[in-house]
Parts: sequence; C-alpha cells; structure tokens
Amino acid sequence: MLAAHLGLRWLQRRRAAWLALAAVALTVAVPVFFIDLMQGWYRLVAVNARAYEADIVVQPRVQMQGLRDTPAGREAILAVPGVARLAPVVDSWAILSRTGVGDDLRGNLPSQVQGVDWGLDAQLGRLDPAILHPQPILALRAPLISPEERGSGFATPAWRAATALAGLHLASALGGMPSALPPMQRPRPGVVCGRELLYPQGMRPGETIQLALPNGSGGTVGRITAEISDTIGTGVLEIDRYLVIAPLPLAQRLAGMQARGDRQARVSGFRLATDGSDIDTVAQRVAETTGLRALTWQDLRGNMVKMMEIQRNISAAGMIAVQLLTIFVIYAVFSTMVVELRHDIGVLRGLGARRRVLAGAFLIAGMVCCLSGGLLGWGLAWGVLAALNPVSDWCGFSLFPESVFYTPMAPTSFDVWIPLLFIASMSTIGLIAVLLPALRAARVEPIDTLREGGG
Amino acid sequence: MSHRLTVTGLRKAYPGLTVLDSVELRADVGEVIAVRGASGTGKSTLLHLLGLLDRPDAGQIVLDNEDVCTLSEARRTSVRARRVGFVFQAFHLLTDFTLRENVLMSARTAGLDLAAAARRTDELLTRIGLAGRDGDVRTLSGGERQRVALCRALLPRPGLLLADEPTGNLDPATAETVLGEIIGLAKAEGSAVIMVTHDPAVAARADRTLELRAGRLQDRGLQPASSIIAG
Repeated sequence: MLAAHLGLRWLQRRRAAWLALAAVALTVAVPVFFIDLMQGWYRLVAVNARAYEADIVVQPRVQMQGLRDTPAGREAILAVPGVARLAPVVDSWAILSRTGVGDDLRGNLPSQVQGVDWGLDAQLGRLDPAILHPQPILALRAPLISPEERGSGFATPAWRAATALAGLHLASALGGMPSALPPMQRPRPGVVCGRELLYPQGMRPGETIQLALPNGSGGTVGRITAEISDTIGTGVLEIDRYLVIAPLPLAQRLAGMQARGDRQARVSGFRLATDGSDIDTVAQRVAETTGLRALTWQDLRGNMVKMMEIQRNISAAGMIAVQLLTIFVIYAVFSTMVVELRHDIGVLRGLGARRRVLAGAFLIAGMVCCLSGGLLGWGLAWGVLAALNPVSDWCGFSLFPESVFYTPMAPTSFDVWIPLLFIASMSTIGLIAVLLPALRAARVEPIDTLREGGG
Repeated sequence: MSHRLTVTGLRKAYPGLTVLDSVELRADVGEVIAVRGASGTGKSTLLHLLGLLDRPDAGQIVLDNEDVCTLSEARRTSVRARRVGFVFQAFHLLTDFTLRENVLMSARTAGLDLAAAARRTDELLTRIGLAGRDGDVRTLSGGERQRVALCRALLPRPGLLLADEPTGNLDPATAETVLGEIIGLAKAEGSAVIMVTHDPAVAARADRTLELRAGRLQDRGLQPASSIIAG
C-alpha cells in the first residue's frame, strides 16, 4: 500500500515527526498518570463505602420507636422479591469511658454504637475478616494487633482463656489434674471498637470499657460494661473514629430496646442483601410492602462516591481539553513536513501517485504518530505509576502519607480504559490536526515542482 | 510500424500568450524524437501536455489508440503511472528512499506486482551498470542519479518516455553515456521517446528532430551533428 509506505517512511525520516511523537507521548502520559491516580482513589473510597454498608437498610419512618423484631416481621421482609438475606441492627450512641476513671469525664468519648448479630451480618458480606483485619491498602497508621492479643469479633481474649480454663476444670473433675485450678470467672461480653477511636486514647483490646446512654435528665437509658475484643478499620471514611460494634442484645440493653415484661425486643432496623436484583427496585418493593423506609447504600454513602466519580470525569474531560492543544503542535509539524516534502510530492504526482494516496500518506503518518506516541505515553505513565511506591520507599519519604490517605501505597488503579480513552482522543485530535496539511499535500501540482531543481 | 503517439491540433494558451498552436506530432514504437527550440517557446509545456500533467485548450493526444485528453483526472493519473515515463534534467529522485526504492516507486504508483517489479529493477540496474547498488541516492554522482531516474521511468514499460534536457546537468562524457543508455534502453523496451533539448549533439542522436517555433512543431529531419553545431 503506497500511502502507508510513504507515510511511514516520511515519519521515520523527518525529525519534525519525532517532535510530534514526543508531544503526543507526553499529552497521553500526563492525563493517564493523573486520572489513573484519581481512579485508584475513587475505587478505594468506593470499596470502603461498600464494605461498610449493606445493599439496603430498612428503618421505621419514626426512628425513635424502633421496630419489633419478630420472626413474622423478618419473614415479611424476606418474602419481598429480590431480598436474599437480612440482619437486624440497633443504632444508638453512648458515652464511652474506661472503667475506674470515676467522675473524670476528660477521657469520655461520644461513640456511635451498633448492635449486630455477627453471624447474620457476616452473611451480608459485612464485617468479614478483610474489613475487620484489613490488608495494608486499608491499614491505618497504627499497627494491627497480633492475633494473640486480640480476639476475633465479639470473642475476647478472656473468653478464650475462660474456654481453656473450662477444659482444665473438666479434666480436674475427672481427676486428671495434680494441682488446684484458679476459680472460673465469667468473662465480660466483647465489643469491637474502631481503631481511630481507641488508639489515640491509648486503649487496646483486652481493656474494659463502660458505655452509657444518657436519658437527658441526669440518668441513663442504659449502661453496659464490656471488654474490647477486637478492632475494626474502615479506612478513608473514618467511620471507625467513633464506632463501637456490640452484640445485639447488649446494644438493645444500652438503648432500652430489650424485651421487658410483655414488651418484645426492638431493633432500629434491618440490613438487607439482595439476590443481585437492582437495589433501587428492591428497596422500592420493600418500602411498598412493609410500609418502612428503605434506603440503598447509595442513598447513605453513594453521594460521596458519585461525587468522586463526577470529579474524575470532569478531570478526564479537562485533560482531553488540554490534549486539544496538541492540535497546534501536530498541525505545525505536519504542515512543515508538507512544505519540506513539496518537491517529493510533486515528483510522486508526476509518477502517477493519486491525490488521495498522498493525502492518505499524511493521514497514516499522523495516525501512526498518535498511536505510537500514545502507546509510548501509556508505557511512560504506567512506568512512573509502578515506580511511585518503590521510589518513595527507597527515598524514605511518603508521597501519599498514611495519615492523610489511609494507605501506605499510591492508590493506583492501572485500569486499561484510561490509557485507551486518551489514546483514542489523541488519535482523533491527531487526525483532525493532520487533515489540513494532508489536503494541502494532495493539492500540490506536479508541474510547479518538476520545473524546480531537486534530488 | 504502429503509432505510439499521435498529436493533432494541440493548442495551449495562457492569458495574452499562445504557447502552442496546432501542434501536430506522431511518434512510432521505438522512435526517438528530439524537440528543440529557443527558451520560452513552449518545449516544457508540450512535454507536460504529452505527460498528462496539464490539459490542452484544444486538440487531441492519442496514446496507444486512446484519446487521453478526454479522460478523468483519476484515469489520467493512472495512464501517467503505467504508460508514461519521465526523465528530467534535475533527476528528481526521492531522497527519503534508497536507490532501489526510487526505482520501485514507479511500480508502486502504477500498482504493479512488487515481486516482478523487483526482478525487473535488478535487470534494469544491471543493464545500466548499477547492479547490486543500493543506499542513499544523495551519495550518487550526477550520471548515476540520471541512470536511476531512467530505470524508474522505464520500470512500468511505458509506451512513451519523455525526457526534459536529460543530460543538461552532466559533463559531456557522462552525458554521452547516459544518452546512449536512454536511447538504447527505450528502443529495446519499445518506448517512443520525446526528448526536449538545447544540445545539438543530443538532438543529433535522435531519429528525428523537431523545432518548436511560434507555437508549432516543424520537422527538421535528421541532420548531421556537425552541421547543426556549425549553424
């Protein structure tokens, strides 16, 4: 194909073409680098938001009253098409204090308390080990507690010791123990606290805390004592800064929602997981069927994720607008090439090359320049992204401080659609920029150039 | 002998100036015709018209029994690629391409089979003493450049070879050799040659010499070179 033969050779032999290639590579590399980081950050926030929230939360229309937690009530919700699983929740708040501090309120911490059924919540995909003991990407700056020091969920280290002691007592009762054992003590219930809540106060798992919900008239609605069994970190959303997760009955006691006399136990609402159906549709069905308020995770946390998505999209559009500036570079380079090659174009016309072949040669050269420059820019951007963390480690400084970003790593995404988007936009821009010089080349009259001297 | 080229009533005028007026010309297969004339008499214009680079105002150019004046632009370009060869005073080689690529370029523009064209390139280069040569054309001497240009022109086996002062940039000895090659190769290939020249010695090598004067071609017949030089 003559057009490709001419275009590629001219691209290879003309220094100006290398300038265009460099311009294209840079105008692809820079957007890919920045949008990739933005995408990584967006994904991190989305993962955090999604990890903490169930698909749908069902609440009473008047929150103060709570909902009666009955098997029939649960069945009614589970019968709604699209609802796969359900877990009750008690939402409350409390003043958290260390036991033994008396009336010294300086260390008292207002906290958000959630009462959950751990097993049912885990079935919703929440509170799994990845969230409870997250990997470094979600790690907080405070170190993780070793498995020996912490419990797991609501099981405290003291529960573990009590279970072991119970075994020893059983062995002793069977006459297998040579010496007296310490007396059995019932361990306190465990609660899971957010790391950001505990660590700045110097508190650790194993410590006993008190949670009190004031009633507004000097007394309390409920007061519970518990042992910190485990910690939870939910990263950038900083939910854990105030969070205490307690066993459902304990939270009900704190919030005054426990069964009392003829009154049935109540909950603040239910978390639901869908069977994969559209969550907005399922939420609408639940609301219509039960008369309760049904909120999707996007209603609760989605706006922030959506905001980041919009910000990313606007930035990408801005980057494409910046790429438009390359039109001038490519136009100038290819116009120069047409002027430089005017003689050769005339000779080729004399030899019988068609106008469209010559225009095509420049368009192919422009397209190849944009595609190869784009690929070069892609490699450059991903190379720099891949080198970010090792280089910052090696240099001993953090480009993305954990204290700010809640991650020790640069939040890179390496999504293929990002470079492909910018290469596609660059190729379109390149094609537009080359169009005029290409048409000018096609209009070269062989008579004019053949009269002149040359090669 | 069949007519390769027949020109009748060819006219070309620019505002205020009639360059060619009722030009008549006939070239047979393998015939070499020299066209002479003072500067500005329209020799190059005639070549451009014959080479389908320009359109006449009136008249007919029949190349291989086809009136090429009535053809569309695309068809004229195709005819130029396949049936007309050019050799210029200034060589007009493409410096971004190697020697062999320059020769093969005419095969590419004509859309010929490249493998067959490569074999013919070897054959032509061998015949003009450039066998096995390749590389940057800027390193070639003037004579070598003109030989390469000749090979490029003859590669598609054109019926008509147009030469515009083909030896104008060469020293006499080289000019003599190159001219011999042009005439020899063209005759061997069966191409009619129309050669514009100021040089009487070059014209003397042609089968016929035509004089372009006042827009018309006048047949001067075959003259001994010595008489032209003396005249």
